[in-house]
Amino acid sequence: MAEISDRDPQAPPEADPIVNSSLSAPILIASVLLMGTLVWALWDEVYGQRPWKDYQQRFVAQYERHLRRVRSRQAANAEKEVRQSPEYQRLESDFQAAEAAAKPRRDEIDSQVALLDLQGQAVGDVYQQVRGRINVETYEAEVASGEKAKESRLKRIEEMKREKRELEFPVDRRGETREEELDYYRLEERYNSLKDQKAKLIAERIELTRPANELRQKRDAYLQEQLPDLSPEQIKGIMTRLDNFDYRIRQIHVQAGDLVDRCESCHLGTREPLRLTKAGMGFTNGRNKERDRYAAAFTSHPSPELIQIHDPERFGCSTCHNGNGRATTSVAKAHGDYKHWLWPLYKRENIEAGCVQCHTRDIVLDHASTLNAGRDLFQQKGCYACHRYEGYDRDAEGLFNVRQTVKQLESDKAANLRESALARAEADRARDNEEARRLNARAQNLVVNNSKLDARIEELDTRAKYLMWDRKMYGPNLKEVRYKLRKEWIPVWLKDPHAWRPGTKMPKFRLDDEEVRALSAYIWQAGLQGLPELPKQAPGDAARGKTLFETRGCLACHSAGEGSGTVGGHFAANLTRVGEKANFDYIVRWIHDPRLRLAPYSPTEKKDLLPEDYAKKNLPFAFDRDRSRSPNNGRELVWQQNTVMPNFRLSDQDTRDIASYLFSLAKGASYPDASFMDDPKLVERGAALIRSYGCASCHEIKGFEEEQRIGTELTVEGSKPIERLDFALLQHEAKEGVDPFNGQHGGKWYNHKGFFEKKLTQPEIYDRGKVKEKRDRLKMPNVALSTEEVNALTTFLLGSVETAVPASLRYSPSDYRQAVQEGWWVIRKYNCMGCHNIQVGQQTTLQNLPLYQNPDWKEQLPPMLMSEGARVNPDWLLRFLTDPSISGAEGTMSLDQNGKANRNGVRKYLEVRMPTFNFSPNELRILVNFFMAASAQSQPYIREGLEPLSEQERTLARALFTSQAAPCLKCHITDDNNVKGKSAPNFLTASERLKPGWVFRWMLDPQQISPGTAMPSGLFKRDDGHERWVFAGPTPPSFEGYPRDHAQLLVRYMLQLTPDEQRRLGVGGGSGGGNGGGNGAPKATARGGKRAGRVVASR
Amino acid sequence: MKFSKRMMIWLTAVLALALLAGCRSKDDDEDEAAAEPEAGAVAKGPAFKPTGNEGNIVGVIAFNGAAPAAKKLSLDSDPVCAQKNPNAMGEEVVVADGKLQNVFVYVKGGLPRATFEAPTAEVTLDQSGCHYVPHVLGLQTNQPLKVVNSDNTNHNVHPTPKDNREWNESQGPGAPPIVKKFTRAEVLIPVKCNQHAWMKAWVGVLDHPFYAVSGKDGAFTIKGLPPGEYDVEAWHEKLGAKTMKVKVADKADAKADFTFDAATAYHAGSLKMQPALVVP
Repeated sequence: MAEISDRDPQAPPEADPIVNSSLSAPILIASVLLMGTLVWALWDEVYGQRPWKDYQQRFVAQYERHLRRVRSRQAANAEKEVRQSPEYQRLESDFQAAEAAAKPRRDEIDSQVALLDLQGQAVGDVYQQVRGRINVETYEAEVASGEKAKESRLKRIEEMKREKRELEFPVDRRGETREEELDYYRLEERYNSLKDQKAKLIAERIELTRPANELRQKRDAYLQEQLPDLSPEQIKGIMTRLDNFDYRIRQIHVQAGDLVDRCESCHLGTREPLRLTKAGMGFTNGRNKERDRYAAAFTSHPSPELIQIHDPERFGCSTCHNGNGRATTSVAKAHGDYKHWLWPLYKRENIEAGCVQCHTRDIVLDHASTLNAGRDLFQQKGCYACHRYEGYDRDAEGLFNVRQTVKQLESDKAANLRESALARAEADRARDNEEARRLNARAQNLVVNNSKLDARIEELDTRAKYLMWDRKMYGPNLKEVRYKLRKEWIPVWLKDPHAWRPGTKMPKFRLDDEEVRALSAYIWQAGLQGLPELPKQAPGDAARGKTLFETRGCLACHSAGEGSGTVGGHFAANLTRVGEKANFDYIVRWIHDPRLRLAPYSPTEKKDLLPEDYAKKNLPFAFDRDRSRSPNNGRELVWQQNTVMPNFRLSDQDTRDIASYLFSLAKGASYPDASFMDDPKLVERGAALIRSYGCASCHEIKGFEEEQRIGTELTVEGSKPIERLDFALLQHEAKEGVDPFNGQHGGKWYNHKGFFEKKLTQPEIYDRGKVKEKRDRLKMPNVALSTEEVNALTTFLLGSVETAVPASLRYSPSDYRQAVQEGWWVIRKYNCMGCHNIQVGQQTTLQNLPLYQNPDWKEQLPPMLMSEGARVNPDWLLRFLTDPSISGAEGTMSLDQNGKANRNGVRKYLEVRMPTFNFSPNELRILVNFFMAASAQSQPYIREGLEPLSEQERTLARALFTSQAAPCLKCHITDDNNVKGKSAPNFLTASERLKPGWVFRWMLDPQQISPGTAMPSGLFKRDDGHERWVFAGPTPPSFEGYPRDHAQLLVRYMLQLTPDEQRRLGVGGGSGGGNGGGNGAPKATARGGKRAGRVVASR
Repeated sequence: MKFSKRMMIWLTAVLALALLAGCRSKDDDEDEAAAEPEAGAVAKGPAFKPTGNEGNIVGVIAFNGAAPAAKKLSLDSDPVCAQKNPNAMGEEVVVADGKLQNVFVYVKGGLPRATFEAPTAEVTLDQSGCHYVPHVLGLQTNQPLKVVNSDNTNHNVHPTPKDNREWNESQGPGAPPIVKKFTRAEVLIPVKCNQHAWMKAWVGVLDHPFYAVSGKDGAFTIKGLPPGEYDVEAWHEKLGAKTMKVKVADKADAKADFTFDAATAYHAGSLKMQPALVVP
């Protein structure tokens, strides 16, 4: 046992484990961790969760640096230069002079006013005090409880008013005062008079300094105009703002839609007055990725016009761009690129998708070229035929609705009849006369109601008639195949249309050989037979046909040539191989009048009417616009082909020549035997396939006229939840980012954009890896689309969403702008833009053709229609669109020797020809309203009366027209029968056709209205002294002393021109009888040669 | 556990470093970014300074084959023109003694990177006898073109360029000359008068002064070229264009003769589908 005494006194005591064990290490670790966490939390709170602070600091630094660079010596010099320019000096000196002139009196007034102020102050002090007390007493008097009290109060008030008060009235500004004693009334008087005096002096001062102020404004405005961009003061202002930059979240709150957008907290450059580019914001082009990211975020909005139209304060940002506007904690969250946010930011190539949800009715939208392309493609590629989309195929939809209504009404009628019969039967059994009378009356009323329903049905029938007229189908009529096509070609075509005709509108259906055989058999056997043979056509002159084909305007819609040699538009088919597939006689007939149909179809009887049906009623087998009712039940028929192709009013010979030319382009082709097409056993299978593939959505096929669409409705496809988009077995690849076409790794595409893009490129791709029967496989055919086209359609579909945007922000005008919206659908339907420029800056198919690159052919282009509404009288336009061959003079048609109208009415010198579109009254109305609305014209048009010309004025105008200096008669037609060398319309058409205001503006500067037109600018110059326009060249001597506007005189002369007067203008300008043409200038050749009995009637 | 002094020093150092690591280095890119000038300024190089060693290109344009008969033009549509110019002939292919006139010869490639200042001297295009004089002319970009009307009738001047701005202005008898500039190089801009369909001129606009138009004898001279190898093109409005490589030596005349054949009827790369020629 160790004794205490045994311990070595020198040795240190043993370590006590409890006392000496230390927790410092764990505590240290714990405290370091806690400290660290605290620091981390603080940092996160102040900074990490708020990356926008970082962005804002960087922005301020970059912007300042940029401003310093911009505010270079150049800008300062420019300002100095402007300040020293004579114009500025003049304005400056004017201003100074005015200032100096006004100064003495102004100073006087100022000092007087100052004195009045002092005086007013002094009086006011005392006066206000007294008045205040009197007011108190008055109140007491009013609420006094007894007559006596009231009286005493009133007396007191009188006394107070009479009491004299002391007043120190200032007499000058130095402080001199005089003592006065005034009672209340005098005080009041004094006070008011001082106020009046001051007011008068102030008014005088304003008048006095007004000229000087105006001059100052003029001077400053001049300075502002001359300096581009921002002036140094403005830049300094911005820099000051940056110095005092407010670091906070920038938020836009749109009350209407409960929209909160904090995008500008990082994207600070969006609405800066200075144009900020990536380069200006420190873009290093890849060297420093981080700085590049910041630079990209700080740029100005790339489209200032759009920002002006859609003020972000009113619309927010995420309305158009999508993304999560409220998020501020990270870039990915703010852009919606994470799995919990369903609507990520639109990628740059799809940015126009944001337009769709508000501009649902606009098929043509300014500033949205990709979207316009997508919308057009939806129509052009026939998507609307299988997939319903609100707004497309309006005629068919309207027709359907009308027919439903009619069916409903008919069943109502039948019900009425039944009830009426019952009522009558009951009436006959009635116990007493009273009841019998009642029941009989009821029976009668029901029958009368039927007559009202009849009236409604009649009205709806008319509407249906025009809708049927307007309804066009995407593909050709397959009922006429036996007359039109080579039998053996059909199966070849069905197997692979794109191989036979690349770029065709028909998609490829991935059909088996067995399916091809069945379909061909059905189509062939269901085709019309037993009709009278088509008239045989003699072959024509192919060389002449070539010229006609190239110059009449066929190439605005059709194309010819293969591969890189293709020339023409893509709206309609490429005609190179027509000869290999079609019947010459049919094609000649078609070109002559595309609306001609072999047999009408009766939708109510659901059958094609054959000659027998007409013969039974002793009627000839004839049907057209005026004979459009069925002989069997009197209801409307489909009497024309459902094609948009118009009628060029060609002569028979012209038609044969063109057809011969087209047939000469084809090389002979032989197709394998197709005798299976006559096998009746295949018909049933063929019919089932047609139903399954939905062929009848595009083509008219016997037995399938009423088929519905087989595809999904796409009106709100962009809103479909991602889980309902069937990625099938590609879901994994989509989420991983593997491109299914080439197996490469790229961006993840498990979103709407990825789905649409892959689907459009190869619709059957989502069947990959699946084991399915042929009939269960995906049916959407392959539409050959380029990458740009896929992008355009994807943009359109992405934007097709159920909108959450409030109605106040959506674009649904009900005024004239709605007419513009409506009109664009018709314009797109008929490809008007293939020949005409309708939108400002838009190109036409024709102008890009090789033929029109030759400078001599430039004037042969059709007129530009950008301001057609401002130019023409809508009544005339209506007549013109109904029949373009009118010549304008009293709306009469110009006839050739066959008595047929086939020349261009107004511009007879053009080779290209405006065809007759056979619009229904519906579409005519829409088009006329469109043009008028697009130029903001009031409807209906009421023609302005023109001031009549005095004889003297008429002589003057005539002299000017025929003078050497005036070029008018050299280009304008003066004799409708001789248009050689002319390139402008006849003045005689002006009074019926043109609006005087437009004519005036046109004469002053035609190049502004229609750039590149043959008519030159600079014919008139401004005579400022007399506020009028005068002819820029030497005027005839009789013009001396004519005080009025020359251009207005000519307008009045032209619009009141008579044929007599035109003859008086005579040969002077070189019209009539001359051979005006030169080398290479195209002339309008006379059609049909001889003009029986028509002599060139010029002097 | 007691911390030794060394430990303390280490700890402090580590903590300090950790805190400092958060700080960002100040941006030091004063003039790094925005080397790109803002818009469109195409600075091609320093101003061209002749060194005195320049040579010339001299040549003759020959025409092989039967010259097409000159077409007689009818100017009857404007009696003033018919009177002043009764013997007007078409100028599309002008051949005299086997030599081709109105061929625009210019240097297409091989020039040093330099800017050639636009001369201020105006080049005149005259409308005389309803006929453009000269038929083909050359200009530099931003050099003024002066259009004069020497006739007693109204003309309008309408160039139809592809890369420059199009304009169309009326010029009456006795009107002041129209002075315009073309800002971009274009070979060649057709100029026409809408009132007199036979009037045609061609204006070649280049960035440099090395061009010439062959005269009646088919001869042309391009002066002032620094020694080197150049691509020279000879362009004719109807017969197409031909190129040739020419080596210019110090102070010497390099020969460059071109021959056009009657058989080559169209421009290289011209209209794919030919319109039927319409004879007035």
